[in-house]
Amino acid sequence: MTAAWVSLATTTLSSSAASVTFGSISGSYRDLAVAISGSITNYDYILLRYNSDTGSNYPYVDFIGDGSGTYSNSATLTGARVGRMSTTAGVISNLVAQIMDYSATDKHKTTLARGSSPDEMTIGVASRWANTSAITSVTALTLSGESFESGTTLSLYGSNRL
Amino acid sequence: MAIKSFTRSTIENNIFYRSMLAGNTAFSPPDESILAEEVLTGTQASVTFSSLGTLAAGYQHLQLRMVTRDNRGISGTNNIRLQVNSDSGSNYADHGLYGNGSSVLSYANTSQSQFNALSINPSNSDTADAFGAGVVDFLDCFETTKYTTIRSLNGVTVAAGSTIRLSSSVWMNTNALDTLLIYPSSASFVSGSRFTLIGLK
Repeated sequence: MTAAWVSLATTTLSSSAASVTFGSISGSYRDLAVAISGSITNYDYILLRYNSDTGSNYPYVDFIGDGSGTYSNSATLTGARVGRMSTTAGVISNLVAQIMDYSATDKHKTTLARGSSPDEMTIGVASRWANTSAITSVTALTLSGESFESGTTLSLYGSNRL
Repeated sequence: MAIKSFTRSTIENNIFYRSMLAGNTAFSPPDESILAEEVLTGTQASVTFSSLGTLAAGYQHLQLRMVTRDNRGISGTNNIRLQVNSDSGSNYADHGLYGNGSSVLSYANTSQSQFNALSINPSNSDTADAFGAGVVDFLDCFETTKYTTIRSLNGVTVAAGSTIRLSSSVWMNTNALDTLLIYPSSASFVSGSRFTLIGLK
């Protein structure tokens, strides 16, 4: 039997960082997942940028609940929106993003993500990288230039193909 | 299940074992395992996974991951349906919460003849190479004391209609899952559509 998820890389920041990149990703898996747990320097949305593509090639749609209402947004960004994180001391935000068929060259790459900035909102997002290239690197960053704080853990997983 | 060792075989120690597994450590499947996968190489109306009781022996839950597109001649999103154990009775119910880029809405369906909206996809008339995706969890789906509950996160982003959706569904039958029939609510899946079935402990 072929195990599903395999841990490919993980890093826990010893100091704040504006971005974290997982590079040289093998194309031998079916799907990828990125998990982020920690905090950032100010409330902000989290993006995943593929193959260093900084173009406006990532349309997304999300839905958000914050206790007082529900909201849905859609736009095109320079990275795949995958969640939002909090800055409040002691509050740990989490998100998990699944990048489907990341190494396929016959389709755009859809990312499904859900997460919480737990003193602020919960969020689900679908994003598409409008590119048929195989993804070989993933960079996690924020929408507005905030930084991941020390102690934040970022992990990359691969899901095997049969 | 491969025979890994013959160190305790009849041949070696002259003891008669009734099982060819004698001397081998007990087989324990990994916590998660890819059970089946289908990547379409042409247009196909549906995809079936069968003999799940055998295929998923040792697992408590199933997960189905889909990346799909269909061959409708019009643009816009299309729901992916799923029927279990060839049951076409009015035994399915769905609830969902979804965002469309401007608001968050909900829906409910009862007495359905299939799960109506476990994933979503665009058509060949939408943005080239754009697919929809869904991750569906079937919880306790081999237990015969409870109905099978399903949850799904699925979404698509195309100009004709972007959707992110969280759904929960129930099959109101206590039988263990044996077959899954997956099909778009209209038209057929196109080449490149992918379906992966995973066992979860």
